[in-house]
Amino acid sequence: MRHTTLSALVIAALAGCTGGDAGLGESCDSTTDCESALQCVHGVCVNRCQRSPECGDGHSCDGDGICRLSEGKPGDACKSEVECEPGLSCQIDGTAVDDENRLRASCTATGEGRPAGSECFQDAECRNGTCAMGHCVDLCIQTRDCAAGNACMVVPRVEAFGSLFGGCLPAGGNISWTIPVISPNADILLPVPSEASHASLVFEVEDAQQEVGATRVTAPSGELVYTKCPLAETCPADEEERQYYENRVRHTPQPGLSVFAMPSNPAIELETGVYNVNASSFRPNGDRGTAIPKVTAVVRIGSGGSLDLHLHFLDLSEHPCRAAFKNTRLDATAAANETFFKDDFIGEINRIFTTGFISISSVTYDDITDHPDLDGLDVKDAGALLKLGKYSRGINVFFVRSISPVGLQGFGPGPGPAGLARTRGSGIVIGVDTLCYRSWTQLARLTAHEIARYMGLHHNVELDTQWRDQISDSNTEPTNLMFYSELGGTELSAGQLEILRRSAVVR
Amino acid sequence: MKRAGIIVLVALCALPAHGDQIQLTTNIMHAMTPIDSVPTKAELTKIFPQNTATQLATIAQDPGVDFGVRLRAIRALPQFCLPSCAGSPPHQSLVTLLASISPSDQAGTTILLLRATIEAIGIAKSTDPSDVSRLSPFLDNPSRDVRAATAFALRDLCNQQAVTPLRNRYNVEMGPTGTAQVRLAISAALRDLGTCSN
Repeated sequence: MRHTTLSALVIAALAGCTGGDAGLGESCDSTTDCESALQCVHGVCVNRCQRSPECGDGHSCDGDGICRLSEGKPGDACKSEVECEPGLSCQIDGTAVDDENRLRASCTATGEGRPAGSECFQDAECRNGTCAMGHCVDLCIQTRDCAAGNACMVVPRVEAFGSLFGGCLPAGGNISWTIPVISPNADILLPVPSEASHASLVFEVEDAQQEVGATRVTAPSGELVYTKCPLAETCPADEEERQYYENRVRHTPQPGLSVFAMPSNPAIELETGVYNVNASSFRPNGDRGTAIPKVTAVVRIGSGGSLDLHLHFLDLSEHPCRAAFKNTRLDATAAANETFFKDDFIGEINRIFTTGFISISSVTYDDITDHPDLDGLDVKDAGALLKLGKYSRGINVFFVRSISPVGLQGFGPGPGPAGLARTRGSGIVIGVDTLCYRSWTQLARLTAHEIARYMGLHHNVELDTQWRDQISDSNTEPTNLMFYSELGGTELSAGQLEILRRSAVVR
Repeated sequence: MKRAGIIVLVALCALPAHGDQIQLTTNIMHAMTPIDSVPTKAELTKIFPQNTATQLATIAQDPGVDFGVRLRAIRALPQFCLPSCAGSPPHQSLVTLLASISPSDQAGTTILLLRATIEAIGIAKSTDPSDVSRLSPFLDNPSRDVRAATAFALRDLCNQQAVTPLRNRYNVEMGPTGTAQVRLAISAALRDLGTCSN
C-alpha cells in the first residue's frame, strides 16, 4: 500500500510536466518521460485518460488526463466512486444528507454484484451498492468520473424519500425500468434526474376490461400536476372533462393500458426529484379495480432528431382501394420499392417532420400474414394488433385493410408508450381504405398526425373550441398538423416541435 | 298490408326530397371529418342543431358531398334512433341507402359505402326481423371486406335467424374461394350470437 501511495505521489508531482520522447507502449519511469499526449502507468507510456474508469478501479482521472490512485479508506466520506481506493466503492450510507443537501456516502468494500449500467431491483445486486432507476449507478462529482457515454447528474433516491446524490447515467437516450406495485391501488415514486427532458409512466393490466392509470401525481415541489376523481359516481362527466384539459399534465386511465407523459407543455420544465404517483385500476363502472397495475417508467435524457418508422402490413390483397397502389398488392416489398409509397407517403411524412429538424432516419418493412382476424380491424381489438409492435425504438405503424367504426382513419394511444415494445399500445394503426377517397399525401398527413399524438402532442384545438392544447405558441388554426380533422394542415409551432424532440421515440 | 304501408310512408319521409342539399360550411366539414374519432351524438347535434338525423340522411344520400363526410354521416345515423331503431327515420334511411347500392359494383368507394351502411344497420340493432334477410345476401358479396362487415353486422343484430346464413357462408369460406379473414369474422359472429341477448 505504501508503495502505491508513493507512486501516486510521484505521478502527481510530475503530472503536467511534458517534454519526454517515449512513445506509446515504450517504457518510462514517470509521465515526464512520455510524449505530451501520453502518461506513464506501471512503467509504460499510455494514452492520457479522459474518464476515470479508463484508469481502473480505485483511480481517478484528473484534469490533465493523468490517472491517480485514489486514497479513500474504508469508512471515509466520499461523493464519487473515484475517491475510494481499489477494492472499495463509494456507497450511500442511508438517508442522511450533508450540508449541500446531498446524501452522505462512504468508501465501502465493493460487493459481488453487477457492474454499473446493469439492470437491478435493489442495491445489493450492484457491485458498487447503488441501484437507481432500475440500473446500477456509480456515484460521481463530475462527468469525468463516469464511463464514456455517461454523464454525472443529480439523481433522486427513492429509498431516501427523494434526497439527491450525484450519479452516472447515460448521457442521452432512454432509461426504462419496472416499478414494483403490489396492490390494485398503490402510491409509487418516479425519480427524475437533473438532465431528464421527458418522463413517462406506462400503466398496464392484464385484464383489458379494467381501466388503469394514475389518479394523482404530485411534483417534487409539492405541486399537484394531475388529479382525477377517484370514483366515477362522485365526479360528473363535465367535471372529469374539465379536469382532463386543465391538469398541468394531461392523462386519463384507459382500458388495459395508459400513459402518463411529462411534460405536455415545454414551458413547464420537469423538476429534479421524485414525483409521487397514485396508480390504480378501475372497473368499467369506475369502481376500484382488482387488477394489479404493471408500471414501467421511461425517462428520456436529452433530446433527439431522428425518427425511425417500422411499417407493418396486414394482408392487403384484393383491396378495394388498390387503384391507389397500381392495382397490385401493397406489402412490405412493394412499399419498399414503389415510388408512390416512398415519395408521396414516406417523403411527405419526412417533409412534415423535417421542418422541426426531425428526420426519418430509418424505415423498416414487415408483413404480418398470420393474423387475418386483424386485417380489417375493429378498433376494440387494436390492443391485440399493437402488441405485435416489436420495435422499442421509433414507431410501429400498422396498415390494415379497414378500421371499424367506418370513418375512423387512424388510431393510436396519445401519448403512446414511447420506448416500449410489445405493449397493447406499441404503435399506431392506419386504415388503407382511406385511399379510396384520399391521396397518399393526405394519408401521410393523417399518419404524421397520429405519430405526433403518439409522441406527446394533443389536438391544437378540440371540436369543442373551449379546449385546446397547453402549448402557448400553437394556434387553433386548421393549418396545424394537430388539427383534429383530416382536412387540416401540416404546420407545427416551435413549442410543439420541442415536445416532439423530447419524445422517447426519437434518437 | 297496413303495416307495410306505414313503413313505406316512414321510409319516404326519412329520405330527403330529391335535390335537397345541405350547405356544408368549412366548420361542418371539419367537424364531420375527425381522423381518430367518430363524431358523437352531442357533437353532431351541435353541428346540426335542428333535424339532425334528417340532415345526416341527406348528406348520406348525396353523391355530391365529400366522400369522407358522407361515410361519417352514414355511420352516425344510428346514434339518432338508438335504443329503438325499428321503423325509425334513421333506420329507414339506411335501409333505403342499402337498397340503392348495387352489390355487384366493386368500385372502391361503393364497397366503402356498402360497408358503412351495413355496419350502421348492425349497430342500429333495430329488432326488425327483415334486417337479417336484408343483410344476409351480402355474405356472398365478391368483396371480402363487405362479407366480413356483414358477418359482424349480423352479430350486432343479435337475431338468431342470422345463424343459418352465417353457417352456410362459413362452409363456402372453407372452400378454395374463401378467405381466413371472413372465416374468422363468421366464426366470431356465431360465437357471439350464441351469447347475445336483446
